Amino acid sequence: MTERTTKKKHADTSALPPLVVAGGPGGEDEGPGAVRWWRPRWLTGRNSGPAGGARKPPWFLAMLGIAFLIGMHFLAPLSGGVYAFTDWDGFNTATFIGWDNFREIMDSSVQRGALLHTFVLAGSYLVLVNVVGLVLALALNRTLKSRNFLRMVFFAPAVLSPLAVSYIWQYMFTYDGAINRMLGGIGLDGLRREWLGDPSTAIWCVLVVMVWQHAGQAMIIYLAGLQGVADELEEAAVIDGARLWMRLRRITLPLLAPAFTIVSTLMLISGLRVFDQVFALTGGGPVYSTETLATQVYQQTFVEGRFGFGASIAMVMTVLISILGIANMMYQRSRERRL
Amino acid sequence: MRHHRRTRLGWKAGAGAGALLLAATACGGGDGGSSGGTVTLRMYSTTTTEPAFSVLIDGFHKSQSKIKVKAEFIPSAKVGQVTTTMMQAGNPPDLIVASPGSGGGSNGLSVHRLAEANRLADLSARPWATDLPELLKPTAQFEGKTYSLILGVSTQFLNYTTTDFEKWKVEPPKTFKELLDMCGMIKSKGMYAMASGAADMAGNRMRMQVFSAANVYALEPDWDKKRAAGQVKFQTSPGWKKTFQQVQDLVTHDCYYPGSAGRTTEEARKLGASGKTTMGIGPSIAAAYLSKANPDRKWAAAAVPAGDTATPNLPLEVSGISVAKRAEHVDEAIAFLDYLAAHRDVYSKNSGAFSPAMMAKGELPDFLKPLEPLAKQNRFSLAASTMWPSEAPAQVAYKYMTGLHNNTRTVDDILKAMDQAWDNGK
Repeated sequence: MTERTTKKKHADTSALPPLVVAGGPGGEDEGPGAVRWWRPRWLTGRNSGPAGGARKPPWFLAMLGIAFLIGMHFLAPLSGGVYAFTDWDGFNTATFIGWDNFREIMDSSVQRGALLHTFVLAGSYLVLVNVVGLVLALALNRTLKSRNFLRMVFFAPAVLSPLAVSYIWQYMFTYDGAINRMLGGIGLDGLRREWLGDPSTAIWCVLVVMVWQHAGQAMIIYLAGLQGVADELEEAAVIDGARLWMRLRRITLPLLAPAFTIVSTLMLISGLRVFDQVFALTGGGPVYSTETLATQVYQQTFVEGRFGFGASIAMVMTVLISILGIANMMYQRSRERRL
Repeated sequence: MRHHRRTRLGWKAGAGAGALLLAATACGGGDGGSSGGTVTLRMYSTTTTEPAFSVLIDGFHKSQSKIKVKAEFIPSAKVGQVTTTMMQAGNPPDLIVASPGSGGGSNGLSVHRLAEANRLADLSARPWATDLPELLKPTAQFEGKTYSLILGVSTQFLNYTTTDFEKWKVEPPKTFKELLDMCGMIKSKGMYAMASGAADMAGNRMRMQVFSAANVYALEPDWDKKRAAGQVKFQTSPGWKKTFQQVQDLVTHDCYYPGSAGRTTEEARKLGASGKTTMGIGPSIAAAYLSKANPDRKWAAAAVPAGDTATPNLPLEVSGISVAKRAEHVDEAIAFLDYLAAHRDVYSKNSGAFSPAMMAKGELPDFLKPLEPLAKQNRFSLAASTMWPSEAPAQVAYKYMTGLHNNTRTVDDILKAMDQAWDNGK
């Protein structure tokens, strides 16, 4: 065990001076001759015990913030959800139409397609971004001279605007773009195609851009997780004769479970609500082959003026994200406990 | 104790800053409003209209000092979104760039829809309100009242490079068959006739307008009314079938530069400017772009040889501007419209459009002079979807038209989807 680790684990705190807490005994309102008014603990926010403790702001001061949070984050979307049950066109009076909008979602091939594409994109993205992010993290966790530079290079796309990134990729995917030119250059002319104009490839092009942009983000979270994997464990396993794959399977990956939970939850949610990449690369085309729930919300609401119908698609999307996000989190947490 | 004081001080400072922020917000009052007797009008318009509106707004500011116009130019699709959101919030821009007619146009905001919802000021009393060719009146009016100032109209035509055509000693095609034959000839020269941006709405919209004007509206000017009455359908209309069949024929005859289905209209124009294609279908503004992008290549206009008639119709896309009924400064906004009405020639000159007065006289701008014989015969029709009940059938058509380029949809698929969208939106 290294000296650094030993110090970290057995730090002796007994020699430290006692923590001075403001507002505790001897505070300004408790000096000699001070009139002591009785104030309930819920108002002062004082900790229990006659000696008092860390003084906190009274909880009711948080009420304004909580009300604001509920109002902005929950009430507004929930009240907007009412429109999902109307035929509101954005300007005229909305008429209540029950579940008609949701029936239309189920009956319309375009909406069913959007639902399917959303699942395909989110599922593939979840798997690929995890795999690529983890591989990058494992590779860059080694003692390489250029590792910090490489980490920055791989993470850089994550801080760029998805729209800007997608417009650049759009040029690369055009018939005369970099990808077809590269294929031609290495003698693979037969593989040249209209990447974004072919329904069989367009959705995978969107996926490539999503993974390219966010794999670095996953890498950073995994790298943070890898910092918590003690070198001693790896060293002990090596002494015991464990090979690389065995060490990865039995030591590294189980200890990365919390990082995996975070990455998978974040990426699942961003995959389910993908909009920018689709909007910039294909606009949902060709012939609806890359439409997702998010692009349909935009199309129905702002292009076709069907605010009620757009709200119903948004509601379906919200429910899906909530259910899948929570289910994924619960599964990953239980997995963490098992490990 | 010091920490306690600091905490209190922090709370006080925070509360003070919050109060100041609230006060500042309350006094700010947003972008528009009045200050020192000057009124500021707000408007949002598309980036393509910026050259024209900038000149007009400058002129308006010089003509008086009491009213200022603050215009923001954003992508076409965003205009509808921003304007709608502001209207719903009860804070509409004073001036609304809505699409004349009922279809919704390129920004999804139609004059009829807004007028029906009582969101537009009645402009019927203005002297220019009825000063319009008969064809355009229904686009500006709803239930007998005028809600839009028609600024100008633009048309789609065939751009061709005189640079190449003179070199090859050929004339622009007069019939659709000649156009198809010419595609083969141009390909033999190592170029393509046209570049199509079929991945977005704009390119498909232009093609649908041009071919339907020749095949549908030139023969049956009241087709839209018949469709609304249920007397005809897209699927049973020979004209509509031919409209999309001609687009398909252009694809199968290798008229288009490869890769249309995944290309945007903007990228297609770049191919024209770079000399990879020799023709294009588009509005005057596209012709202006081509000339500016590559001054070595000269361009000229001809009618698109679609349809069987010797005199195809010119499809008209109408531009207008309205005043929000619940705007902060309705009277001042109407005063600005009065100024615009008197300077529609300036709008036309700077936007590639032509004014309703020119249209009534059968005159066209210099670049479009070759099309003037058609204008003299009043061979105009409103662009398809201008007077449709909603934008939905057109949106479906634009999406499905991409399928003609990658062979995933047929002409019948498009017509069926359009009928469904029309019937659903009734």
